[in-house]
Amino acid sequence: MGASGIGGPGRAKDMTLAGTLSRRRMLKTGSASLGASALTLGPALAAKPVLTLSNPRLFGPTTSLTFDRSALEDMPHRVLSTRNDFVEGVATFRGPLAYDVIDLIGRAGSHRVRMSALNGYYVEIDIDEIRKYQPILALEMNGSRLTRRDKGPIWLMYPMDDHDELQDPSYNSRLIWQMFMIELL
Amino acid sequence: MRRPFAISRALLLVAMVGLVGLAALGFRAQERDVKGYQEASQESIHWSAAQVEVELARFISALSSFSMGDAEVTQEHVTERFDILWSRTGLFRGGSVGERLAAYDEDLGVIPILLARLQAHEEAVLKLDRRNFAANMELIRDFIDIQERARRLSVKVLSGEEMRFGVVRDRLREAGGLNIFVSAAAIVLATVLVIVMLIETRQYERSMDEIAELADKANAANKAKSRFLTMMSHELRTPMNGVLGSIALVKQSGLSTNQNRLLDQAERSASEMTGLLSDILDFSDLQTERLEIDHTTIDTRALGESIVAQLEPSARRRATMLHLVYSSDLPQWVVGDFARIRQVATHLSLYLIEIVNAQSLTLAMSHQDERLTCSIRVQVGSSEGPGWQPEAIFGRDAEAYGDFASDSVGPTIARGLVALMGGEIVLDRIGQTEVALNVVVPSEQVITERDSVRVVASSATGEMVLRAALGNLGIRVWQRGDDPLRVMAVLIEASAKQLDESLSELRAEHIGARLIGSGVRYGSADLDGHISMPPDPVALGALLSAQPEEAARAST
Repeated sequence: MGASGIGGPGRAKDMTLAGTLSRRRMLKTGSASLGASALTLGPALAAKPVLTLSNPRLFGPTTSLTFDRSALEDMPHRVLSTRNDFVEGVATFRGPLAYDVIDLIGRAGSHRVRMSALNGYYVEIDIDEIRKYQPILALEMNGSRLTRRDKGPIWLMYPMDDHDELQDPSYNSRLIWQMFMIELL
Repeated sequence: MRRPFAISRALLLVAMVGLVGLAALGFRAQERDVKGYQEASQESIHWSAAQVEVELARFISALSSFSMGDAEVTQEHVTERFDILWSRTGLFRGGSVGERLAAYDEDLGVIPILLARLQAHEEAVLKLDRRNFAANMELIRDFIDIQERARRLSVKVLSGEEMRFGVVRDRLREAGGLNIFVSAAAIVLATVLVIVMLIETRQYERSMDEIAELADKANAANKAKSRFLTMMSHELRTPMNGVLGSIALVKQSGLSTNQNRLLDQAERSASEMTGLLSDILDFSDLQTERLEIDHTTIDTRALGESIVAQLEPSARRRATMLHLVYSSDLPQWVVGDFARIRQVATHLSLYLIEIVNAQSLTLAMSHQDERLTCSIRVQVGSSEGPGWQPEAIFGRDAEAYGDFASDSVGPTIARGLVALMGGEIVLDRIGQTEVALNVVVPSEQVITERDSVRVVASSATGEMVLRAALGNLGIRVWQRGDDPLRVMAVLIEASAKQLDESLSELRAEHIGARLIGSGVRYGSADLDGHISMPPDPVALGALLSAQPEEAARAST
C-alpha cells in the first residue's frame, strides 16, 4: 500500500494545532528534553508550520509543539542512502532522526505514535521500533528539498537496505509522505 | 548362477533414481512457491492509482466551494489540494511502483494529460479570485473532463491487479499440487526402501546362516583331521620307541665297527622320525589350540646351554660352529616356558643348520623391558643355500599353518609357539651372508631377595638348636609357603641316608641356595659347607655371608 492516502479514521480526528511557540514559551513547558532541544529550533518558529508534535499525556497548558521547516533543519541531521519501491535505484535522504524529534516533547509513558499525512492517511508505529531502526524525517532527497508536490515537505524514511526484515511490504506502508503531524498515543 | 540381492538392488536403484527425480520436482515447486510469494508480496498499486481519482475529486470540490463563496475554504486550502493532486502524478515516475502504474496508463494517457492541465493552470490556481466565478468554472470544467479518464485508470489497475493476483494464486496452487505429489511419491519411495531393507536383511540373515553352517562343517572336519593326526602320531611313536630300544640293545651285543656304524645311522633316522612325530603332535595341538604355555621360573643360563646341547649333534654333522653368548644384563632367573622357548630356538636353529647350511651359529641371549630375546645369528656361505632368502621362514601364513613342505614344519611350529607366548620373531639382515633371527618373548625378571635360611632337621632338638642360632644372628627362618628362591642356604641336620635322599630334591627346590650340613660330617654328601653342633654364631654368620667357594673353605 502506498504511504499517503485518503480518508480513514485519522481524518475524523481533526488536529488542533497549538500555534506557533516562541523560544521563551517552549522553555516554559518545563520538559527537560524540550528545553534542551528548543535551543536548536531557532527563532524562525513563527514562519509557515510544517509539523505539529503533540502529546496529550503531558500536564500543563501546552501539549503540542509546532515546527516550521527551518526549525527542523536546525536539528542534527542524519544522511540515509537506501532503495525503496517509490524511487529509482539508491536515493540519498537527509533529515533529523524521528526519535530525536519525538524526544523533544517527552514520551510521558507513551509507547506508540501516530503519524498523519496531508491527505488523511496515517500510520501507527511503536516507539521501540523507531528507536531500533532509526528512521529519519527526510526533508531532502538526492540533495533537493522535498516539496508538497513531491512527497514533501516530510517523508518518513527507514534504512530499508540495512535490515532484511524491512523488505517486507508492511514497512512500505510506514514510509508515510506529506507528513504534517506526530501524535504520541 | 543367480546374483544375490539382485531384486533388492534393482529396487534400490529405482528408489534412488526416484528420489533424485523427486528432489528436482521439489526444487521446482519450491522455486515456484518463492516466485509466487515474491509477486504476492509486491506493493499493491491499486490504491495508488485510486489516489489520482480521489485527489482530483477533492481538488475540484475545494475549488467549487471556494468559487461558491464558502468561507471555510481558503485559497491556501485550494492550493494545498492542487499540490497534493500534483504530487500524485509523481507516483507514476520512478521506482517499481511507478513503472507498474505507468504501464497501466500507457494507452489511456491520463497522467500526461493531468500533468499538462496542472502545469497549464498553475498560475491561475495560485491567483484564484472568488469574484472571477466564470474563470473558476472554466477551470473546474477542465479538470472534470479528466475525472472519467481517471476513473477508467482506477478500474483498469484494479482489474489488472486482480488478474495478476489470480496468476500468482494459480502458480501457488500448481506449486502446492506439485508439493503434494512430491510428498506422496516420497512416501511411496520410502515404503519401497523399507521393503528393500527387509528383503536385504532377510537375505543377509539367510546367507549368514549358510556361512555359519559351512564354518561349523569345516571346523568339524578340521577337528576330525587333527584327531586323526594326533592318534596316528601316537600310534607311530610307540613302535618307533620299540625300534630305538631294539637298536640300543643290538648295539650292546658286540657287533663289528661297520655294523655299529650302520646301527648308528638307523638309530639317528629313527630318532629323527620320533622328533618329526612329536612335531606333528605339536602342530596338531597348535591347530586345535590345545597347547598351553607354562609360566615358571627358569634359569636363563641353563636354557641357553640346553638349546646348544640339542643343536650339537646336527652341528657336528654339518661342521657348523656353535657359540653361546649371554649379555651382561641377562638375569639368572626369568618367568617363562623353558621347554617351549627351547623348542622354538631349536627348531629355528636346526632349520638354519640343516636346510640353509649355516657355517656358524651364535645364540645370543639377552633380556630387556621384560622381554627375553634369543638371537640366532648365522653366517651363510655363498655356495650353500645361494637361493635362500631368510624371509622364506615367514613366507607362509603363521595363523593358518596350512600348506607347507616337510622341511618347514619346525619354523612353522616355532612361529605358532611364539605367537602363543605373545612374542614375535624379528628378522635382522646384518650383511650379505649374515642373518639374525631374534626370538622375542614376554618374560618377567624374577627378582628375589635371598633373606631366609631353611632348617631341615631329623630331630626336634636339632631343629630347635639351629633355629635358635639363626635367631641370635637375626636371620629369618624360611617357612613352607614362602618363595623357595628366598632361601640363601639350607642348614641340614640329618643322617647320612636321609641326607643322600634329600639333597637333590633340596637343590631342585631352592635353586642356587647353599646346602650346609651340621653335626656329624658325612664324607660322601655333596654339600657346600659344614658347621659343628651346636653352631658357633660367628662361624655360622661367616659361613652364611660368604660366597659359595669361600663357604666351602670356611667350613668348620
